[in-house]
Amino acid sequence: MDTIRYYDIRLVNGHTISIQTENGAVENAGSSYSKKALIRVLGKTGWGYACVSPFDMDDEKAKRAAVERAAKLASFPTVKADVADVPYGTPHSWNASAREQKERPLEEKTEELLTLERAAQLPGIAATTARYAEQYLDVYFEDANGYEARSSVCRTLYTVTAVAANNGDMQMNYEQDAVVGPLRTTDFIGKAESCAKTALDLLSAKAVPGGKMPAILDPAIGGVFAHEAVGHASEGDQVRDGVSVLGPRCGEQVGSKLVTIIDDPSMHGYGYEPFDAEGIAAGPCELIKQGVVNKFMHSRETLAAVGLESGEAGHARAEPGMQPLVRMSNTYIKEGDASYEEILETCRNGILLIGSRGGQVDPGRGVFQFNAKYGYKIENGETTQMLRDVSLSGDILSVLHNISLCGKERRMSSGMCGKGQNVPVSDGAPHVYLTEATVGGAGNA
Amino acid sequence: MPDTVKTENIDLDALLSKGSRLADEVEIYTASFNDLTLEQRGTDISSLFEHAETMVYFRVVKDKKIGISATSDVTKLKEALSAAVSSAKLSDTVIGWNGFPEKQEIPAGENPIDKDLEISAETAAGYLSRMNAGAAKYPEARPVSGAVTISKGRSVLVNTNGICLEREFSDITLGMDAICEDSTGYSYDSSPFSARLNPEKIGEEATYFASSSRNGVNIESKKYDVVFSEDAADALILELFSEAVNGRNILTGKSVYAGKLVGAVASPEISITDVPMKKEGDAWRRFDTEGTPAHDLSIIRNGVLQSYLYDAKTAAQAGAASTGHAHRTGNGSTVISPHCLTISAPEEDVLEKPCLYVKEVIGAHTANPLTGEFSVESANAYLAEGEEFVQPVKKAMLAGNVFDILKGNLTISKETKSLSGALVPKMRIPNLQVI
Repeated sequence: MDTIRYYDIRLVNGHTISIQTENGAVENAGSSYSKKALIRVLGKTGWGYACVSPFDMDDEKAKRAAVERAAKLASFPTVKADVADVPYGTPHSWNASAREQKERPLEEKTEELLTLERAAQLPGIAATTARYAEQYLDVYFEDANGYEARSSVCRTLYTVTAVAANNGDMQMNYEQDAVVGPLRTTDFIGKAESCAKTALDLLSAKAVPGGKMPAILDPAIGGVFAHEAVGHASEGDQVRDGVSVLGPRCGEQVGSKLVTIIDDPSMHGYGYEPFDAEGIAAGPCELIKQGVVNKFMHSRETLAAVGLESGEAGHARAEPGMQPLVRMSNTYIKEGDASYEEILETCRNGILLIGSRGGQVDPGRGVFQFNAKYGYKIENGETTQMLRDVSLSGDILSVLHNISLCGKERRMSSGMCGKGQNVPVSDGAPHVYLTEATVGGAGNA
Repeated sequence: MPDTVKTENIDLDALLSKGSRLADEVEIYTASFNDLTLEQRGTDISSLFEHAETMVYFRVVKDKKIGISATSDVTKLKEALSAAVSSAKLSDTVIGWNGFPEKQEIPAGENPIDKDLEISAETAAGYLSRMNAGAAKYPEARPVSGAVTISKGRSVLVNTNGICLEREFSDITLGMDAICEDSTGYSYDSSPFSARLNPEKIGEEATYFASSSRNGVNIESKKYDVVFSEDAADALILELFSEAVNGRNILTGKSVYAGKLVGAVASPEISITDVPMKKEGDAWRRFDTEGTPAHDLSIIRNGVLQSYLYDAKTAAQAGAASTGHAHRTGNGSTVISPHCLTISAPEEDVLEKPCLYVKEVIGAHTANPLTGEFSVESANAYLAEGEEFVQPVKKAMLAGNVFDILKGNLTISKETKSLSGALVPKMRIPNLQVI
């Protein structure tokens, strides 16, 4: 008989409906179904995982067989792992089931999406695309302690894309929103129009000459900074493995006292989880507190490995049928007290980066890169020339010290994070002023 | 009706028959996988993961409208078929639709499967052990993690036009991360065939790049001749090129190459061809996921754009023939991508003359797919000369335009690396802006 020190079973029953329209026609509208269970056993030393699909939680015989199978797999590892004993907490419940959304006819949602797409079809716009998706995930969790948890979460999203063309030049812009709960695409008509206007404006935007300069990050790209530069380096597995520049610096001042960065799975954002992939319900976790490395995000395993005082469990997340990894949820830079005008005036001459096209980090080196949708030159405290294809890179420890102002109003943006598996996240920030940043662009290429 | 085919206890004939009563055409594509992943932390095994799954993709056509659905829950096959029929009612008519492909002669060739490959923890542990042996060559660097995934699978395609095709495949993916002080290194490789992999080299590269990137210097912001590794060239240049020749992007006006067929889009010295059965590649595709035969396709010849990539739907919309480039996504729709791009350009010893060598780029996915403009950060970058890395570089941001690079004096290495969708050489790009 193989040793079983702990086991858990996480079954996810999923149904996703998606609609895509292109240039006013319905490109596709489809459904996909999944039902996958991950059976996880902590054996004498390490973990065994078995993904089974489909799986019936009420079939006790099948459950026993799956646990025994995972236990056999767990007999192979040689690295000793433990799980920290932590309270399960109380699962947070937002209006996430969205039954009304599910019951609305697909025809109605398709018409609404076409209406949204039409709003982006301004003169000068050569192509448009719109996408809508709603995903229902029912999670059933139980573990070796007899603990059981259930959740039912609906996530919905829209994306609208506009391509502007003029005399052979083309520029593209997109807007998206993704929420936990219901969403009506017709509520975003204004966003679709502004998406198209920005694409048209980008036709006359200039490429930015790269170099070091003062920079203002808008809430969207400030959020990506919080996620990429600080969030990934605060993940317990990176800290445990010695590949985070923040790992050895717990309690150390690594940034300006204005900087407080929080991850909160209980927040009503796109990264909301009632409980994590280990059944733990977590609340806000202050990763950076007034510039000091404060806490790391953990799974039960990394908490046990790094130390119970090093942070909080409840941050293990997983795609259906996949092993839990330490992940972010809703991550943001806390608001400061500066007005937008004050930030512009303080910057005087530099660059304003707006929106995010994504980013990436190497937490071991502490180097990150992210790309803005567009930007503006700042001259004498005012925004002037529009700029396209602006990116920013830097090393985490320098840039955190360069934050000298944080705005009063924070906004969150939604997206997916792809650390081996894709999970929904949100991130946000107020406007953030960096006294110096490395800005990249093809302006002097 | 096609020959009788059953897959994973799914009666495809019965499903086709049921679907035929609801729609004009029905297509079912199944993909079944068994895989095993062994992970290590440091150089010791930390977990073993076993996974088995069957995905079933439905497409139906009613009045030239295509409906789609997919399920990994085989207890929901009837619901999924019904959802595809409902989906067709919502879709717009596909102008020019000629039906799903019919039974036709498929090019000869073998499937990309290593028949001798065994999916077992012992086999996977053998790969890890060999990677660790390679990593030990640079003991100052420490392997952080490593993983081996071994998988075998089988896909079956049937449709009501008589197509009945089966394809078997295998894959071994190896990867290792290493760190040395504040410097990181990473290497990976994958292949259907065990004999093509060199686990020792993967381990050695991971610790070499971690070790050799220490003490990097800051370099002047100016234009350099930059050499992209195979991985960097694939992530940045071939990724955007593939999007630009994608028939869907052409039709929807989201490509700089739209309307430029038979026009000059690259240097006259550059030719790019998709070779699905390229022996050195890993695709070995005789037909795509719709059953269209896959043939060699010249995309750029001597700088002139020759062809776009199409699946059956986009080909119909463009009034062209499918080029056999349909792949599948999670919801059952098709996506278009190349099988095995091969690049012909002037060859040289790309590291002989002074250059900035870039092993990895950070943020390749943030490049502008429409205009080709990029500004990305480098990782494991070196000033190089005479085939040697002279000096590691601490930080270098690279800015340029992929489509302009293809028009310039690009040179490539003779040796290539087989990556997903391409045989990729190192690429030397003159006068690239470094910030």
